[in-house]
Amino acid sequence: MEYRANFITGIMMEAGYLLAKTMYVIVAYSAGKRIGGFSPDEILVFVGSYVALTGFYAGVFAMNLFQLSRLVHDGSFDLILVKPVNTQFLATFRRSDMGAFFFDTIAGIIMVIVGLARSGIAIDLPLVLGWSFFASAGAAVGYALWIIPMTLVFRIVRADAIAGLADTFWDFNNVPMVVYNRIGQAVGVFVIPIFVITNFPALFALGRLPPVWFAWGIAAPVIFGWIASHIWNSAIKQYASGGN
Amino acid sequence: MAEPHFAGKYAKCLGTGFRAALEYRVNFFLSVAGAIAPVVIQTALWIVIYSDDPASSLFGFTFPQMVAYTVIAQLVSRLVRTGFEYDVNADIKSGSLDRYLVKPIGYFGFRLFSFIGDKIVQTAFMGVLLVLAVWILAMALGFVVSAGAFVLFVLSLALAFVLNFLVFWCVALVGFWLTEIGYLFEAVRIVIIAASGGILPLAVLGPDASSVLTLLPFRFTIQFPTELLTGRIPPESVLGSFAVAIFWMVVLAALGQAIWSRGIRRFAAVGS
Repeated sequence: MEYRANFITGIMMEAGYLLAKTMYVIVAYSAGKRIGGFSPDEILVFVGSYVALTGFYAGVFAMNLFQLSRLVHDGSFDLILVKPVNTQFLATFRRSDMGAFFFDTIAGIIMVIVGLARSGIAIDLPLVLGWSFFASAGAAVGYALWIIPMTLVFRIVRADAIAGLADTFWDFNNVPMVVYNRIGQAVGVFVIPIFVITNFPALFALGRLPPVWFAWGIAAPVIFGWIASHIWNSAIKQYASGGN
Repeated sequence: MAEPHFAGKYAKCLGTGFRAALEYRVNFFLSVAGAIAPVVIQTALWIVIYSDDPASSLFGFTFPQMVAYTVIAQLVSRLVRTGFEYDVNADIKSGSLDRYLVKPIGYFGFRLFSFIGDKIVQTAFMGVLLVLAVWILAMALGFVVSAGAFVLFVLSLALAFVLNFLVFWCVALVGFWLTEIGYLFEAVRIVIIAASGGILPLAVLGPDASSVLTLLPFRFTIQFPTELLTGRIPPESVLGSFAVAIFWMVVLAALGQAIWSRGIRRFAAVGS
């Protein structure tokens, strides 16, 4: 909050991205037809869940992931290693953009609420708790999925390109996963579970999360969290101090 | 020592941009690779939307037209993208703009010709991708590009480069008054891409919104070149559309000059 101008312009940037994301909602309403079996109001729930979780991605850990390469390159990572705090936690959560986090999270939740209300779905405590649980689980899966490729920075140092490419794949959640074919859905749910991140909260809220996916939504963050931590600890052994 | 010829000075700027583009070609390729995701996303979306009636027209687009627009607009969007505004802002903030004020070269000309040099390299790479994309679209959807459409596309692309440069030149000069501006550039960029038809065709936004956006200069940076290549601009409208694009170039150039004049006086008064 020391740099208020940055805070405000950061929110403006997120507002711009929100406009871009809502264009897919506009398509759904303008087309006036069900997409993959979901009404435009239900599509709004998917996009709202995506926007809310983008708040976590953009506000909490994206900038840390993008800066990891610089820290390793100029040797600043040494200072993180010597601190009495878990290295992975400190390296990936040291900075945050609360403007982006609150803006996207609030905007996304509003979109989810409006979509559910227009779909005639009662917003009760179990729904709120369930959506929140799967959103949190999705955030954990997203964190793990972005950590894994970024560990290459300890081997090849300049991994900005990988962070940039990984960033573009976040956008696959801008539309419900039902628009992709069955193979794509299976890969996106079980192999590289990117669709778990934002689709599962929406499917739960709409009462259309199958039991197998329900169980996977609970198991995936644990499994991929363990994999990401294991890969991080293994990769950090390759770290040789850079910089001057 | 004789002062370089006027054209020679800016030819050197063009060469600087050209060499920089070659050096940072990996960044450009990654930017193009980043276009894959939206193409896949939107193509999947349109397949589902058109699935119940593949021959239907939606927002004035048939399915082949919509997919062709999606692919080509993404490539054009990557091609016309700028980045010099961050350098301009850095020059203003650090005070190193000083050195350009005493050189026998205008800062605007330096930035413009460096940008053009950069785009020459990217256009060469993109030309190959575009040919490949058109070939795939032809094989998969029967999409055909006429020679006339291609020529008009190239001309419109040149206009798009200059127009986009002028838009972001005006935005960059806001750095004379604001100190923290990085996020603002990104906010403006994404809104302009949306207003240019770079995410989805403007027709998706409805007749009222698209009518307003059609009057603005932004559509000439992405939607106009794309629709020329895909044959969606009626022949009788082409000349008029080019005239409107040139009109906006003049307006934006004048606006940029006005902002520069006020900004540089403030810069000189405040100092480095």
